[in-house]
Amino acid sequence: MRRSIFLLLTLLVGVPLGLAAKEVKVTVKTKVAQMKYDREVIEVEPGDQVEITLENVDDLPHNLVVCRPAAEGANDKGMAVAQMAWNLGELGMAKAWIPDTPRVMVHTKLVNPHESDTLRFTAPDEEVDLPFVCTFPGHALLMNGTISVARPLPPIRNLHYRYYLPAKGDRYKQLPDFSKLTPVEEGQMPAGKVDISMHLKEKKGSFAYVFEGTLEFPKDGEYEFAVGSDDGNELWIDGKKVSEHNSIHPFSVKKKKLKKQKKGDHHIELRYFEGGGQKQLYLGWSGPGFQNRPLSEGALDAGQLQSEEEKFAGMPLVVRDEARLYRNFIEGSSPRGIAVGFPGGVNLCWDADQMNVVMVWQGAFVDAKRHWTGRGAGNQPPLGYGVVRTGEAPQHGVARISGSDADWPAADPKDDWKSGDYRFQGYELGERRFPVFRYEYAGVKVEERFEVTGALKDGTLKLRRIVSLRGDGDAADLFFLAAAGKVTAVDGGWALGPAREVLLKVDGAVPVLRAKGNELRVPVKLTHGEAQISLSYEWPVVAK
Amino acid sequence: MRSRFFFLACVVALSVSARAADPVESDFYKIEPFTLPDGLVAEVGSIELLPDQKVAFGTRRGEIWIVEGAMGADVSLAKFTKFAEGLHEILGLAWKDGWLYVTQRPEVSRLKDKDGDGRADLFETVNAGWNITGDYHEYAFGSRFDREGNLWATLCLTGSFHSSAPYRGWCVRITPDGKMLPTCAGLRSPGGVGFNAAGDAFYTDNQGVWNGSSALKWLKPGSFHGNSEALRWWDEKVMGPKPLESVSGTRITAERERNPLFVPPSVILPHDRMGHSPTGWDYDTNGKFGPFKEQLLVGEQTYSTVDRVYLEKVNGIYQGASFEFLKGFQSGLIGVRMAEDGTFFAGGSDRGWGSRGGKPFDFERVRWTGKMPFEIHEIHAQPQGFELTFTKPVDVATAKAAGSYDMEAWTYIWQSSYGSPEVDQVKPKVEVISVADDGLSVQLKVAPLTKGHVHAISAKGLRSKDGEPVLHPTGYYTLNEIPNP
Repeated sequence: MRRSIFLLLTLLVGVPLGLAAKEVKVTVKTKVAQMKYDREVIEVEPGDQVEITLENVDDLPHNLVVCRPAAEGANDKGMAVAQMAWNLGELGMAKAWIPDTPRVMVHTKLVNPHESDTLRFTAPDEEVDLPFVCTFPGHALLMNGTISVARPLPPIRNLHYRYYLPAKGDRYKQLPDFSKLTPVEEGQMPAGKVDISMHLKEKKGSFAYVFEGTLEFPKDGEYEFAVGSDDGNELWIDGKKVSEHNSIHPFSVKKKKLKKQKKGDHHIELRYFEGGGQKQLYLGWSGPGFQNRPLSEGALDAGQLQSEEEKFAGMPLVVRDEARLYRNFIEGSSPRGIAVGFPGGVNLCWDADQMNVVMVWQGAFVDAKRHWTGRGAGNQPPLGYGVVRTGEAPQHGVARISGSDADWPAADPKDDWKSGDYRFQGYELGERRFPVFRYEYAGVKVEERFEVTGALKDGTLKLRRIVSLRGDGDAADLFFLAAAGKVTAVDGGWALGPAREVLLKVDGAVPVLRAKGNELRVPVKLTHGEAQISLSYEWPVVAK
Repeated sequence: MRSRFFFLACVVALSVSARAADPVESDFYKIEPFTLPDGLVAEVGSIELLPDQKVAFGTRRGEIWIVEGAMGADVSLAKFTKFAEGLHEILGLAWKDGWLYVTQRPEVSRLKDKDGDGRADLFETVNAGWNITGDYHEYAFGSRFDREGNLWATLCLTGSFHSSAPYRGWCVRITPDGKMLPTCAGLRSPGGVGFNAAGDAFYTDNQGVWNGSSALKWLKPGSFHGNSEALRWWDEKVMGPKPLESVSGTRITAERERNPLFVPPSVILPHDRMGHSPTGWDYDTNGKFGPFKEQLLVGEQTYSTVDRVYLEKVNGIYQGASFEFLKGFQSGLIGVRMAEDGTFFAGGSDRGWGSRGGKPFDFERVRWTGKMPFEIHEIHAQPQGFELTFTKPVDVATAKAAGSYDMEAWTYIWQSSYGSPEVDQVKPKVEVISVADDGLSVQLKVAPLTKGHVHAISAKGLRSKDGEPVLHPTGYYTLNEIPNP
């Protein structure tokens, strides 16, 4: 029903181009502790009266700033505008982080947590991409999207079908060689949408179709076709096979990206067969400024088009005033990962195979849906943002090596059981359920505890990790591995992560950054059998 | 028209039958689901008894809940408190000396509430000697403690066929000082591990490769159970000579002769007939749960039932009979536990593996109503047949009638592919029947007896002295050994 109304609207609005400007009302929500808007593309037509309400369900303030395109015309996702806001420095708060620049077209106010604000504007008369972004410092990289101002997409032109049936008593098990077959029926499909419903009432067990037509790509750029079928299909664009799933199978969707496509007409051909039983065919496409537009008739429920990430979202473990632990398969850790979410929006994963922190991140903790539905297969990535791996290879947290430049012993996760030198001893939950991890290595007892200070929203958030070691003898060749991989020496410490998201400081010893593997090693000197290393992880959000 | 005919048929049936209605399970055993607080997803993986009449259960979501008032008169008044969370799929709980031992996927841990606020704060790793690769199928089930204080853990294969990391497809023991002793190899997909009243350890394995049907198997230390993949972790310096690799396409009896370390399944729970997926069990130590003292009451995940197993030892090998016992649980049972007062706790989940109960999870209890059901109590193998004992005296006339009994026998293909059909069917005949003077047992002379076959003995025509049919008339006896005369 909704579809037919949509079709009607498209016809009414689309045929007499842009004459009837319409009202478009959109609500954009923030995602809790994930530093994202809940939609990245808003599709409107030239001349539309657009109303966007920003509903801020997050615990940090956000805004939504609609930007005119950058001078060079490219979609910069509003980054230049956000940078200008950042550059406001101490003046920023007073200006609600809105810089004086003609690129700002319209904006909401700075929306406090659990409030909302609405902006209105008239879409330009020409087709254009308008980036929108949150200009609150530190948010823009993840909080952005595009308002696509574009005329409605035409359906497939000159869409022609050929319908085939197998020989009597036979059935198709894969796509037949259509060049050797004569269709039992053929004709035009003026609606321009692929449709297999017209012959379903004949209740043929097995059949096949070839659909051919012309599809106009509205712009130069990248396109993605989604083809779903029960049973098999092949999609051909401009005489080249771009996607196939040529077998008997339940309905499933395959997606294929086509890069660097030229604006203009392209030949499209979809081949399909049904072997018997359940039958379904879906064709859809995404391109510059539009997403998941169907090119076929026949309903497809939202779940069938969901990506893996979407399927496993929906059971976030919320951290309140106590730390929360989650032992399961965490992406970026060995299978013995223990994720810890601290109050205040800082999280880490402590790996009980490697005996080390392997990841830190901000914002939301973990979504448990992948592991708490179905059989629970697979690794779950963190739910928050700013994920920084503090190591690359599987390496243990402490080791005895013959000098600061010797190779760190490899820790093969599959062979870890053989290494009797490392023993995980568990953890204790202290005040506010903060964990203290304990393990033993070659006679040295190691204990790690954590403190969280400051707050995410003003850039003072700090995670302290205090590593205490106790052992007999001098243990002169004992080292602690503070970080490895993306480690850069900066003022006052070491920057971690691809975008230098985290500033790591080390107290109590002088670390050595070994060039090979970028390993930040801390020599451990036991005094009266004891040593302590204090690390702090900081997220400098606002430029001071 | 049809309804009048049905009515007529009922009248005829009633007048023929001696009783108005035959007894049903609920006349003897009452299943009571607990009322769970909102937000408690009781995907119960294991249940344990704590001091002060408290009960603990661990869940697949890694939580531990403590139940107070679980044995109380009104099941709806039980109180639930979360003791721990964030653990990795709990399939074993055992209480000892103030510690709650937890078998979770990566390790055996022990938990304690140090500050007395009702929540665990100390999570000590007792042993993490096996490995996990990140495959969802690598479950770890843990027992309670054996008489030496060891905890037994059975470790599922990787992805149900392979042993991609050490001790997948093994049973290991964790000693009181936290050491791991590799104990048995060749397991497939254990569903539970524990002991019988004699203190011997068993596990339930699920139908699949090298498992023509699900079965209860004896974990005799040093034994092999069929899956050769697991033998890559067999260290001859520790375990002694390695078992031979299994040969596919044979029979269990042939394999026993060829491979001396192979121990045959003790009691087969015939696939489809009894269920698809046996899990944990427990037994009544004192008779407060009715007539089945010391028999194993085995959870069934797919059928949402509890089966009953009688074990005996013949020629040094365990064997015995399985019976249907109780159906109608709300979800697929995984963890069960018998309390001293005769309350039987059961719980489970249908997540990832469907179950007949229909609910996604459950925690329930069962109590004996005090009424005596008429059941085959035990089946004993004899040199020339079987002795059946009963919970109540039999009616001599029906007990002596050959037509009261029906028998079938079959075995399964010993093979590397998944499951097996029932093969080598035999139709044994009941040749001579003798009824004991007290009416509590019947001896059947049966021919032929086939070593290694499951012998299904059905006593459908038999009545008790007071006229009841047998509540579950069929017993499935796994005849690994025929006793010597």
